[in-house]
Amino acid sequence: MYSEDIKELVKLRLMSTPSNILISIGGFGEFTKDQLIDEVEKGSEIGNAAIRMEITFLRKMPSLSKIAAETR
Amino acid sequence: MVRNDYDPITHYMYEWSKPVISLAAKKGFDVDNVGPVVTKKEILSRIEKLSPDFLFLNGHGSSDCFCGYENEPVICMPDCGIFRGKMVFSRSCDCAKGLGRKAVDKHGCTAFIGYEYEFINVRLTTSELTPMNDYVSRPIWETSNAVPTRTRVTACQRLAES
Repeated sequence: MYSEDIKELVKLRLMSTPSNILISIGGFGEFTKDQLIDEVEKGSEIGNAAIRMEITFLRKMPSLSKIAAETR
Repeated sequence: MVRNDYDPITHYMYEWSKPVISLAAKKGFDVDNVGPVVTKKEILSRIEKLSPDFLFLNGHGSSDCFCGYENEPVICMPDCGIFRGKMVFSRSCDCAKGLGRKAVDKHGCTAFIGYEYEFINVRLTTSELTPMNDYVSRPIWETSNAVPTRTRVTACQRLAES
């Protein structure tokens, strides 16, 4: 569903997440960064949800920064 | 207000809804709380009986339904008529995609605010029992809480002025 480049980008972003964090994805449950990296690698439904989360954030970031600057 | 509390994410929803309840009470609104054990029978009968004009739903969900305790589907597509004439904020996965759209398009729901994908939470491993102390998760919940606190106040002001 997602290209290898996108998967690698998301895996790198997840690797930089602190180890004392858990990420809950909808009704799938909670995951450590290592668990999510595995899911991304497997191309599972959970992995795809994690990719969607990261990519959506990256795409929205320019407008979020603009909103943050305007509301300061 | 509907608040589930049976797993880590719904526990966060349960706790982080408290500031919304406090603000609503301070502003003089009547808040009826359903939860932490939310069943289909109870939620539908309370909505019918009390006829609230704003519903704040916290729990798991899917495109077709909002879920109660232990993921029991409690408000599904056939139940959409329950939203007629109401504003709804559904803090649950995917509900805006199907349930919300049908409620607005076909059943006279005034407004349905929700999510079209999974609701994501990021939290500290040490904060499971004290969500309000979780500085990592805080921005997610404060942003999400802005929907009921600002929508509700604005809507009521408009109703009062009309």
